[in-house]
This record gives sequence, C-alpha cells and structure tokens, in this order.
Amino acid sequence: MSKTVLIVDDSVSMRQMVSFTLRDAGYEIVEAINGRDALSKLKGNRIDMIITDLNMPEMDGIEFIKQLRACAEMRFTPVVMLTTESQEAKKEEGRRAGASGWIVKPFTPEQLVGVVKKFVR
Amino acid sequence: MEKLVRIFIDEALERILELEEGLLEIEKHPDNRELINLVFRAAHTIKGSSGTIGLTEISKFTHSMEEVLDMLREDTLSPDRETINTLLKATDALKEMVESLAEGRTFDYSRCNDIVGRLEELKNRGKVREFKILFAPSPELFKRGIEPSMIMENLREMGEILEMRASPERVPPIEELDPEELYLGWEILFRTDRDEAGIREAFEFVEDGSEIKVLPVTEGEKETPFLGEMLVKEGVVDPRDVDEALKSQQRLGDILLKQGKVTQEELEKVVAKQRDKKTDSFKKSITSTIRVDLKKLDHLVNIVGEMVIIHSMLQEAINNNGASTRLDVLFGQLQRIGREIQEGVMSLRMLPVGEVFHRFNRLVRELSETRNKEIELVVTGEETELDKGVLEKITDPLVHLIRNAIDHGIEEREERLEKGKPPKGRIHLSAFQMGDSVFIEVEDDGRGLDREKILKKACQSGLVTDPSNLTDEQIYGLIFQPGFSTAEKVTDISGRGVGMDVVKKNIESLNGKVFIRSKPNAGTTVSIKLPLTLAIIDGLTVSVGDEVFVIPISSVVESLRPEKENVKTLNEKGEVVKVREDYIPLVRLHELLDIPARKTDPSEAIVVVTSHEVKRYGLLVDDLIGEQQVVIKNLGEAMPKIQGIAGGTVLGDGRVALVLDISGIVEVATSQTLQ
Amino acid sequence: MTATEKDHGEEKEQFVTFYLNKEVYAIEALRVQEIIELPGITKVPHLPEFLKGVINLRGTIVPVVDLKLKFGMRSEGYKKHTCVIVTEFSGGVMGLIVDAVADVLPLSERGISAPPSFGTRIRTEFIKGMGRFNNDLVIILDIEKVLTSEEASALSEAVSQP
Repeated sequence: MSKTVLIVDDSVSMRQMVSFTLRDAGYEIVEAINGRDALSKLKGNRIDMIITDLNMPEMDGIEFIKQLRACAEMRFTPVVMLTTESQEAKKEEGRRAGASGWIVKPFTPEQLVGVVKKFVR
Repeated sequence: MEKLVRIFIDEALERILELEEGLLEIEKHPDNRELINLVFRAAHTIKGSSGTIGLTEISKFTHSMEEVLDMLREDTLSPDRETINTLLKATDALKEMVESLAEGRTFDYSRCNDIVGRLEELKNRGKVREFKILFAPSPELFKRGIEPSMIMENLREMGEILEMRASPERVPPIEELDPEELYLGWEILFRTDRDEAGIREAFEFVEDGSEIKVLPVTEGEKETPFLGEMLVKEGVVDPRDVDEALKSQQRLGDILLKQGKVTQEELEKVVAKQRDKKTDSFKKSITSTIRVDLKKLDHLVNIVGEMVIIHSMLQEAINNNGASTRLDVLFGQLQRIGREIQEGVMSLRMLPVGEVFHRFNRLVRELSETRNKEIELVVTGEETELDKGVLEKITDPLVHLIRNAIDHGIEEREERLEKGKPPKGRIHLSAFQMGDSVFIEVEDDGRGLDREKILKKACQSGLVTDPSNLTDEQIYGLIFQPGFSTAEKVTDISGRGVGMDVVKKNIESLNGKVFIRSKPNAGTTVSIKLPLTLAIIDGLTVSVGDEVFVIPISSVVESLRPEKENVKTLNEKGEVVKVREDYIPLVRLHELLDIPARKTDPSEAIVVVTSHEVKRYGLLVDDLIGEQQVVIKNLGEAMPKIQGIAGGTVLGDGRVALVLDISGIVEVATSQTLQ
Repeated sequence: MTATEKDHGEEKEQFVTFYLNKEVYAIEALRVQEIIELPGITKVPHLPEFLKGVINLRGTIVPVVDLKLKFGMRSEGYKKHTCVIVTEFSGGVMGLIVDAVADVLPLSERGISAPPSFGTRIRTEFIKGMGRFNNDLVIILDIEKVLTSEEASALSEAVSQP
C-alpha cells in the first residue's frame, strides 16, 4: 500500500510542486494550507509522513510540530520542515520541537524524493 | 510529466556545463578537492533527477560517470589526461542525450557503448572500499519520528552491508528504561563506492545528538578484487575470456588504424574535424530560463511586501476620506517602491559574464590541441554583469574572436621561441564596467595584425583609394568591412579574415561597438563596448517638428537656449555654439534626421549638450518636453538599421517615439562636416 | 476562418483582397496576422519613401510600408478606409498600408492563372498569379518577393512607370 504524505504550505505553487513530485514517486498526497488546517486534516486521514513550511499564517510550522508531537497518535510520525538557508536558528528550534528532518529551499524534485525516502518508503 | 522533463533538461544542461568546466579545471588543479566534489555533485544530480523522471538510460550513463568521479574523490584514480579525456567525452555524449531529449529526437544509446566501455575500464582501475560505521543514535530519535531501520535502508542503497551488530552498551538498568528512548547502537561493516561524506548522507538528520564514526577499513584488512578477478573467482567466466574482453576495449579509431582501414593522418584529420564541429555546437545549450541570485529575489520579495503594506495604508486613508497630506506621503512611497521593483526586475535579467566565459576554456583547450599550439586562457572580470539577451548574442562573436586569435594570432611554438616569447601563447578574456558601458576584450600575445598586408588587400579590393592619410586604427578597422573579408580568405595575413564583418554587425545590433588595437609581434586586442542594459533608460524627450525623440539622459550634460552671438559658423568645422567658455559643434537634429523643424534659429530653439567620448556636442531641438523612463524596443526585424537611432519606445499617448543613439548621431554629424 | 476548404473536391485557398487606387490585389490569408485601422505613424529618417515609418501595435513596434509607393503609384494622403494589413514574411513582421480591404476570397488552383508578361503596373516577379473576383481581375501578390526585393531596383522600376 502506498504511503500518504501530508504537505502543509500556504503557497499554492509550492504545494503543487511537492505533490506533483511525490505523486510521481508513488506517494499519496494530502494538502493543508497552514498548521491549523493540517491538524484538522490529520483527523480521518492515515498520514505516514508530514512536510511542513515554517512561515504560514494562522499557525506556523514550529507551533504545528509542537502540537503534533503532543498528540498521542502522531508522536512518532516523521515531520520534515521546509526551511531556507538563512533560517539556521529555525532549524534548531524545529528540531527541538520534534522535527525529523528538513529540506532547504530551493530544492530539486530529486532532493525532495531523496529526503522523503529517508523516512517512508 | 512534460514539465518535469523540461525542468530536468534545463538543470541537466547547467550541470553539464559545470561538469565540463570542472573537468577542465581539475586538469589544471588536480589537488583541488572542492572542484572534484563539484563535478561529482553535478553528475550525481543528473543521475538522480533523470532517474526520478524515468530517463533510465541517462541515469545509468551518468551513474557510470559518477562512479569514475567518485574514484577521483577517493583518490583511487588520478585525474590524468586520459581520465579527463574520457570524462569529457562522456560529458559530450551526455549533452547529446539531453539535447536530443530537448529536441524530441531519439538518441541511439548504443553509440555510447565505446565510451561506457572506457568508463568501465577506468572504474576497474580503482577500487571499491570498505568502511566500519559506528552508530550510537541520539536517544530522542523515536520522538522525532525517525526510525533507525530507515537509516539502514538508506545505507543499503549506497552499498552493501556486509555485517551488522547491535551494541547494547548504552542500555540503562531496567528500572530507568524509558520505552520511548533509543539506547541501542550499531556497528556496521559496509562496502561502498562512496566516501565518508557520502556515507554520512544516510545519517543526515540524525547527526545532532548522535555519535557517528565512519572509518575506512585499511588495505591490509580487506581484499577487493577487480571485477574481472571476481568474475573468475566466482567461476562466472574463464580467465582467458576476461583477457580477451580487456584487449578488445579499444577505441574505434585505433581498431580501424590497426586493421589498416585508415591512415594515422586521415584519422587525425577526422578527429580534428570532429572537435571543430563540437566547438561549433557548444554554444547551443543556452536555455531560455535564467538562474537568479537568491539575494536579488529576496530583495524583490521584501519590496513587494512593503508595497502590500502601503496599499493597505492607502486603502485605509481613502476609506477615512481624511488627511490628504498623508495621501501625498503614501503616493511618494508607492512611487519609490515602483521604482525599486523596476530596478529589481531589471537586475534579474543581469547575468555574470562568467556564465559564458567559462565555456571558452573548453573551446581554447580543444582548438589548441587541434592546432598543435599551447595556449592558456586567462579570464578576468567574470563577475561583471550583462543583460541576458546581450550575453547570449555576444557568445557567437566571442567564439569567433577567440578562434581567430588561436588560428591566426598566436604563433606556433617554434616561431614564438625564435621571437623570444614564452612557448605558451596566452589569450586574455576580460570584462569590466566603465560608466554605463561594459567592455569585453579578447587579447592575444600573438603576432599582431599586418598593417601593410591589410592595406594592400584593401586597395586591391577597392575599399581604399588613398591610403596615405589613414591612421593605424582606421586601417585595422578595415578588417571589419564586409568587402574585405569575403573577397578572399585572408588567413595568410596574420589576420582575422573571415566573418569579422559579421562580428561587427552582431555587436552593432546590440548598440555596441568594436575597437581593435594591435602591435606587431606583441598581439592584438579586440575590444567590445556594450550598453549596460538594453531595456529601460532614463530619457529626455524633445520635440523636433511634429516628431518626438528620446535622448538617453546618460549622454546629456545640460540644455540651454543660446544667445544669437554665441552661435557661429566656422569654415571647416561647420556651426559651433558657445557653452560656458567653450565652443562646441552644433548639430541641427532636423537636418541630420531630414525632417522639418519649427524653429531653425538656435536662439529661439534649445541646444541639448551631450557628451560622447569626452567630446561635447550641442543638438539643436525645438523644445524640451520632459524627462521620463522609457522602455527601448527595436523597430521591428524588417526595419533596416539606421545610424543614430537606437530604437523606439511607446509613449503614453500610444505613439512611437524614436530613441536617439548619440554616438551614431555624432558619427553621422562628423562625417557630414568632413564632406 | 480556415485558409483552405474543400469545395467540389478542389482545394481552395483563402486570399485577402484589397484596393490600391482602383485596382484589386490579393495576398494569401495565411500571411495576414491582422488588419487594423491606420494608427499614427512615426517617421523614421533616412528610409526609402515607401517605408513610411513605424506604428505601435499593442506595444510592439512594427514598420509599415505604403504598397502604392512601393509599386510607384500615386499615393495622396490617407483616408477613412485606409488600413494596415499586418503580415509576416521571412524578414519579420511588416504592416502594409492599403486603401481599403475588400473581402476574403477563396480561390482554387484552377481559378488562378499565370501572371501576364506585360501590361501590369507592377513588376511581374511580384505577381503570383491572376484571379477573378466578381468581374474584376485580381492581382495576387507574392508578398515575400515584394518585401524582400531590393529597394533600389523596385524604385528604379517605379520611376519608369508613367
């Protein structure tokens, strides 16, 4: 059975790019536009992995990861953050909040699949 | 999917360039690790992305290249000439594959069998290595959603796990056990073609808080047989078959030579031709996408952010129907932002000339090899930025100039030694910015242009009737004349014969200029002057008769209405006008442009003082209209190039106004007064 | 509008017909990008007389040629129906100033006869053939040749016309 990845980003183009690439690599995709939306999408969907942007309206990525890790059934789900090179501090903050990994923007489809494969197959 | 292929092609072409340039650099600096890494990454990326979108043939091919490159990284293979040659050949093949893909042609992969064979040959020279990996993960791994089994899975993709043992040293007494913490560590014996950094990639996100050691297993501890030996050992093939196979791994040329199908001479000729062909096609790979410095984009995003804020403030101010003074301020802000966005967007079109310059390394290397001359290419000013459109269009002319410098400028080794020059010829390709122009120069230390021969040639073909009062510069300039180069191949004159007129035409189509300097036996310098950017300029709009013209502000010094007594006619120099303490030539634009003017008396009209190459000229116009930024457009392909006109622009009322090219205007004006 | 259509098993090609003075001319519809009212023309110096200058076609600058001047006919001021046929040829995009556009005319190969060797105002090499429209003779132009012809020779021929 194929694995499902939840992609959380307020940018439509970014979501499309990620979904497109991962669908192509054989993953199922669920999309959410911010942390709050993502939390609601977790209910009723079996999610194997999450990719989240950090800067988003309503609920940002760090807060989302914190709430996710506080939630019993999502404690061990891999979460990868999308960061930019200038966000070294954010990376550390995210790691402490419980992020499993990160992808530095901009990235190639190949890099994206490479990172996802590190967590789910 | 098509879109992904498009993205892949663009990226691959970029990476291929990196590969090519990098390989050439490695040859010069074989100890530069960073270079080798760069080249390796380039191949690695292509392999990965081609694989991801199902281009298995390309992926397989780049994998072979990657393996060889990895051996360079690991120092198990030295970057000698043969290795670099093979890798360059492979790069060429790869480029062809990608280009075929781009053009929708099918590529016959069997053509690469020879090159793949040679890559295999190189690979057999190096060795796969074994590592011992000690991995004591951070206890919080589970809490971050990371499974150790996935890491092992990743390792398996990089090589072979020969042995794996769990080490329980860190497991605490049972009463302190936290079921969510990870106490186990692992010891892994791993065989791979990767180096330590490559192996560490598998541990990318777990390095913090974990203890990871990657230790190469030393020679004595292991045995890594060659592929051939292994096949024999495993009983797959007979030793004689391996020998046979190794022997048959020859180049096609060598085989044909051996069989007497071709002579050495013929072979060399064809190989040289093949190289020439490649240098012709190498410039094709410029794509229509552009790579943008992230800083430039960030800057734009910031400005747009500001704009959004101002917009909402403006909205609020309008809603409140109040404080009209604030509207002023806000509008001023918006204007500033608009300007900054414009500048920012324009700067996106600017690319460092290095993007083009670096390709010439290959050109010089290949040409010097075929011409049997030793030539070094020195590149400076790579960071100088030029409009992408301009950059693309000067590539061809530059190829031409460099080719000429190699073919005709730089002497053969013996000749150089006789002249007391260093045996190695030198071509200096440089770029620099001066004022609102960018200069690109191709300088060689060859034999220089032969003044007398050029003159003789020009007289014969009727280009020159009276050579007595021509300056050197004018004489050298003759080689840019169409009649000069097409009349006969002038390759015997030290000279840059064929197609220099085309070079000049190309540069002029960009509103650029070409200059040439030369000294016998010291060399020749061709200097190209280009406008910094084509598209947007600050312009002074003026009216002459019914027409409106735009003069680039960059060449305007001031404007004035002269007193009657300050305009005089000199016998030889035509009309002059007194500006402050000097008399400068007066150019009546309406006469020069052959249109009726409303005001022909300078004391009623306006003189726009412009500067051109340190000299000043006064342009007579009817009236000043104002200053504005204009987007320069060309006048349509079908329009012949008119001296003095840089292009046109669409004014606010929808009409087209012509943009003047001051250097061209000055040229027309001076040639008229000379007559 | 399709450029060709089947009619009684015959391939018909579409032509745009237009007037120069009282005569009817035609060019292949495939060559025509669009037809616009004559906008303001900006004169460009040092051009042959028939190259009238440039116009603004929705932000793109397009040169325009006065076909009558090109063929050495009288051209007296532009009137209400004067329009520009924007056409593409090997040298780029060019606007053709004509007195008025008449119609779109489908012609089969059989309906086109060879150009006469004499008796026309314009040089025969500019003519692709002759067709009929109502009862008028239509001169089908080889616009490629017209626009790429050497200006000088076109002019010298024009001068010799009455």
